[in-house]
Order: sequence, then C-alpha cells, then structure tokens
Amino acid sequence: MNIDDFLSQLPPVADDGFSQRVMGRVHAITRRRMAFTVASIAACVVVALLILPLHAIGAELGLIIPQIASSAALNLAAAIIVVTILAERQFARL
Amino acid sequence: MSESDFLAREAAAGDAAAFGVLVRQHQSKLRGFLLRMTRGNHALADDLAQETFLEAFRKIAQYGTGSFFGWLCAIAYSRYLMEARKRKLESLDEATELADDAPEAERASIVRIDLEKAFARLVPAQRAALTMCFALGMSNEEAATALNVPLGTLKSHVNRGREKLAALLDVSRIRAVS
Repeated sequence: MNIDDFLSQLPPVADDGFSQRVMGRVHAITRRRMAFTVASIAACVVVALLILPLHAIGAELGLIIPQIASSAALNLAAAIIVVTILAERQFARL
Repeated sequence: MSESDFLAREAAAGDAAAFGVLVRQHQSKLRGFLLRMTRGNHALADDLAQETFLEAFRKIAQYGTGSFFGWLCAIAYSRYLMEARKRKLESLDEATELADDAPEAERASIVRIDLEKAFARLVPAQRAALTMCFALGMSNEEAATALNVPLGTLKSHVNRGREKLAALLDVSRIRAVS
C-alpha cells in the first residue's frame, strides 16, 4: 500500500446501533423542547387569566359581535376572502 | 437541491425521522473521519460523532445550502479541537504514537501500520485536510470552509501533510532496514 492508496481509503464503520443511540438522544431533545413550549404557553395563559379584566372584555365582545355580524361591509369582505380561497384551491388542482 | 439538503430542510421543519435518515447516511464517513483525527480511538471518535450529530440537530435551522456533510465535518472538527484542548490530547505540533485501541484489522499490514503511525504524527489540521480532500472526496473549497481556513492555507496543509507523511515513512523504512 502506498501513500495515495492509504489517503484515499477510509474503512467503512459499521453502524452497530450508533444511529439508534443518536436518535434516542434526538428524541429526548425534542421531548424537552415540547415540554418547554407547553410549559411556556401554560404560564402565559395563567398570567393572562390573572391580569386581564376578562369580565369587561366579555361584556365588550357581547356588544361588538352583533354589530359586526350586522355590518354589510364586513360581511362583503368576509365573502370575498372565502371566494378567493376557494378559487385559489380550484386553480391549484388544475 | 441534493437529497441531504431536502432532508435537512425537513428536519429543520421538525421532522426527526428525516434527521434519522441523515444520521444513517453520514455516520460511517463522519466516524471514519473522527477515527483518523483521534488516531484510532474508537470510544472518543464515537463520542465526538454523537455530539456532532446532536449539535447539528440543534442548529439544523442554521444550515443553508452547500454540502451537508461538509457542514457536519466543520462541527466535528471544531468539537475535536475543543476536546483535544480540554483533554490535552495533543499540542498542535506534538508527535505521538498511534492509540493502543486501534482495531486489529488495521494492524494486519506492516505497511499500513507504518502509514497509520506516520499519519498520526501529522498535526490535526493536516490530518483533517488530507482526510477531507483524499478519503472523503471533498473539494478544496468545501474542506477549506469546513476547517474555517483560507483556500491557500488548506492547500498548504495538504501539501505539507503529504510531504511530511512521505518523509516519516522514509525514516521508518530506514530504521527498519538498519
């Protein structure tokens, strides 16, 4: 064997469970990330529930929603959005 | 877009299975590279390969385009240097012998042992440059990027490493004859 042969060869390394061990740790990282995300969202929701004046917001929404529902301009805008989405889906199938 | 690029994009979007395919595709070459860097220390090479893949998974969103394996090699080389400094495995110009736990198969040929020993005496940058450019088939540009050195420096590592390897082999043959 000369130098060129030696340099150009890299003996293959058998997997022997290496990939599984790596993926086991990858899944552990994914689970930790997921747990952190869920915990963060839960903490934000709890803080929001404690801070926000929910009764006042509910009362406001009770007044606003019927007005929005009876607004011709807003209903027209909503209809245009729905028609646009449906048309886009139809064109995507072609 | 290469298959590795596609899989890396899927992995960045949260598909762990796609990353699993990347690990299986590249583990042999990466562990082979690290085996050469660690002078045949299988345990250390596997630890470094594992840490490299985990770092790649954490940073997969940072991978743009180009060679995914080159990107892995860059992480692996930087991990190797950190570990070498931490464990004081070698100074950057120290000459040491081949690790004791090098596999038997690699010791079967006397010439191969000479080559392994001579290769182990090269500085890490030369070992990395020679392995990337010859054994892993990376272009000079890819290897330079992976080692984070200018192209001229990479070529210098390759040329000097090859010359030193030839010189060390000559010395060992002269010793064997005398």
